[in-house]
Amino acid sequence: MENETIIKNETQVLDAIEKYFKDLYTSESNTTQEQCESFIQELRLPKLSDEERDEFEGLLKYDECKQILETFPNDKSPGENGFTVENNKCFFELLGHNLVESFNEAFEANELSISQRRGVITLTPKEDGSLLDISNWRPITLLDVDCKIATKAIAKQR
Amino acid sequence: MTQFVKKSEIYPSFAPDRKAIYMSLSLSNETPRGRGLWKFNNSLLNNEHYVNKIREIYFQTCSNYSTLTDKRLFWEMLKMEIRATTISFSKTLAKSTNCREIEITRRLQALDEFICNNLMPLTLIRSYTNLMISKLNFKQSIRRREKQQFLDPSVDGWEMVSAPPSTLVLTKGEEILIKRLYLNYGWRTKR
Repeated sequence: MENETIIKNETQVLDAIEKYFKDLYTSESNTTQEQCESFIQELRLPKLSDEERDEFEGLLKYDECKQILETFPNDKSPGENGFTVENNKCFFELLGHNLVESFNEAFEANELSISQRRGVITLTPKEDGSLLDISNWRPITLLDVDCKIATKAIAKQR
Repeated sequence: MTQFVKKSEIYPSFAPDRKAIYMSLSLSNETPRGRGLWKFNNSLLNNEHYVNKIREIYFQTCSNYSTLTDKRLFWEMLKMEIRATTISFSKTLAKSTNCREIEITRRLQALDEFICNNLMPLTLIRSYTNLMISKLNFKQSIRRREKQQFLDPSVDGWEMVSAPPSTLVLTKGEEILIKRLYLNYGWRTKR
């Protein structure tokens, strides 16, 4: 619903959704880049030693990724590539080494592979309210299982 | 309403006034949904042929892209090959499933016609019942896989009957007849 008008055309609906969430997640600030940097530099944050940094930023291992995958619940929506948690669990022994190699190469190159960088944004309805009103829908991003494994494995290293 | 009917089927039964009707409706939608994204069908993981096929594809892909040094790109290629194989395998599987369903329906109809026009010898009744059960089981397994109810057991006149190899939905008339017939073959119902 846009200005109390019900839109039915697919293109118009998509445009209205994009505009609504763009406005919602956009904020204006008068703070400059220099002010932000100055603020961060003035903070006295604890720092890691070189040894600790190397320990925490080490390459991922097959076994830790496998353990992480086993903790994932089944029957969840997959990401853009469509491969489910169940599929990953079933073929991890076969494909897992290649996945871990891709993660570690991404670490060296500072960039994940194409599909691991992609997410699918979809809307889920909120519990109450009219579903004709866009404000009663919540956007979520569906990420690939690959990406979730890497994220959790890195988080667990810390 | 007839313009909305996409598919309809009448399932044969012993009781002439208790035939089950399956109807699939296609209702118009002013804002049609998009094509959606491909999602892996988890039931394929129970198919031994599929799992073996993926193993085969894995080694084939490793061989085909052995010169590829970029591990991230190799991972993408591997996923792409597996996805293509999965889609192809699913299509073939769906085709063979449909063929099997058509064949069972054809044999069932032939027997149905024969029984209606003859004195129903016991051997034919047995074949007929076996076929009917096969079809119901087959249909149910498909519907269950699609997370749809083939027949709603809550509707009056339909009851769940436990019988090997899996659960069936039968009319009361069919149930009584099958009980009588299958007492000789050692089948038992729950109730």
